Amino acid sequence: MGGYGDVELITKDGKRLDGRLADELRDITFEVGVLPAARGSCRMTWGLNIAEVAVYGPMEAHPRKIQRPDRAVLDVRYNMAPFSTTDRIRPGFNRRSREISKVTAEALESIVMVEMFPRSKIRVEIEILCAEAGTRCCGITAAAVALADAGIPMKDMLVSVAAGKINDVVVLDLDKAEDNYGQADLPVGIMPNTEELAFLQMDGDLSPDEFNLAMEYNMKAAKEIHKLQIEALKSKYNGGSE
Amino acid sequence: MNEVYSGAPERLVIPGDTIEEGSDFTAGSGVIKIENKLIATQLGHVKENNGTVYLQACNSAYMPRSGDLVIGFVTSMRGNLWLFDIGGPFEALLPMSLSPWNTQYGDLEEHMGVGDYALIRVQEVDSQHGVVCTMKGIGLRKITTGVVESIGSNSIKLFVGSEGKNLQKLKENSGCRITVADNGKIWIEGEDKGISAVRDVSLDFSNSNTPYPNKNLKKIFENKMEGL
Repeated sequence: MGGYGDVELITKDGKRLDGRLADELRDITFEVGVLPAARGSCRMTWGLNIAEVAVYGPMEAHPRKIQRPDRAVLDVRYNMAPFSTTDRIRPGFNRRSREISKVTAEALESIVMVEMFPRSKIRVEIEILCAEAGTRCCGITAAAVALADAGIPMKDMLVSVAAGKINDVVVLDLDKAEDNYGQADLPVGIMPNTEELAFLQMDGDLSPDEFNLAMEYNMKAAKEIHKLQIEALKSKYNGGSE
Repeated sequence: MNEVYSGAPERLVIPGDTIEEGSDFTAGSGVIKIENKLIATQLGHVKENNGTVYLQACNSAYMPRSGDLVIGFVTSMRGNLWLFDIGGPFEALLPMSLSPWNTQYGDLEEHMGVGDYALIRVQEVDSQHGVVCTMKGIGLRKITTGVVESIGSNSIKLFVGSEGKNLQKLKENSGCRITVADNGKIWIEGEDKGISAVRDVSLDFSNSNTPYPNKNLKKIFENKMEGL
């Protein structure tokens, strides 16, 4: 979020650098069940972002000190592959990945019925294979699909999407240039059926009116992405039962 | 079994979907009732039985219940008990007193060590989901012969078949002894050729990333059963 106001990111006719309008999403695809060893998995592409998520468990929580007597713990690991960006990323955990892992775990805890599995752990591994701004939203949205694929009981699905501000215009789903040179970024986690928020972060400044517009864009986009989540899950299990 | 949902076609739901609104149905497994709405909490097919709406989950973890016959392997030991991985969210305990051997405190490894498989029965599941197992009972034993395969707890019904027909056919054709445990593990004992024949069928379940219920998997299984 550089906030360099002199970089032109949106044209006079309201089109952005990649030709999208202010309230348009990048192309999104889901593929469910891509990792045979995992109980549930999802590969999501969001623009140029590619995320793969694997879910394991519920399983006995180790080390025992992390066990909770009344609920399961979500062990979320968000990691960007060294080759995911043009500058090679040093492998392993860093401050940013720790923060995103924590945010993701807390967002997912609000949908997963953790009280059904006391003393156990649900492992969620998010691997970003290609990054182009919005990887946390991509990871969280894919994680919700992978959790559903794994049969983990959940109150609702979770969709994460970000709106922001570029050249004083509120836009949906920032790409890399917009993220780097824009003025604000507002990623949120939305439960699409109840329209409740699971998390909200804000980087930069938005006026109350801009904030409301950004939330309106986010809510509309969440519904669109939720439809794609349903489609992906149903297409995998479309064979029907007995 | 009465498994017809209000005469409506069976439908697939995902977590958060509203199954029914303003009805008198009660919420069963995989369903919660919020403000008179029945909400799905898992990915599965909607079923109804005697006024209770429940989900037949497409993929779910094995949840141990008292009386279940399970196959597990020893993950660790204490002075007076073995800890088993039975494929569920919680490890199962096998206390020394519930083993068939007259063991002394600290001498557990003489009979069973880490990595050994055993056929055991769940004796008790407490409120904290502590699982206590027993190895005292007919047929319960340490597994030293044959192979253990996994088919998944959701697939047992299909694998065994109605009135055990599929299982019986597999046993007769392969000449093997097959024990199907409630945690989705099977123990196959017999000649190598027979074991290969059973594994050929069971591997479809363990290799499939789309667990049962799934029409494709069912079709493949039925074709193989017919070809036996």
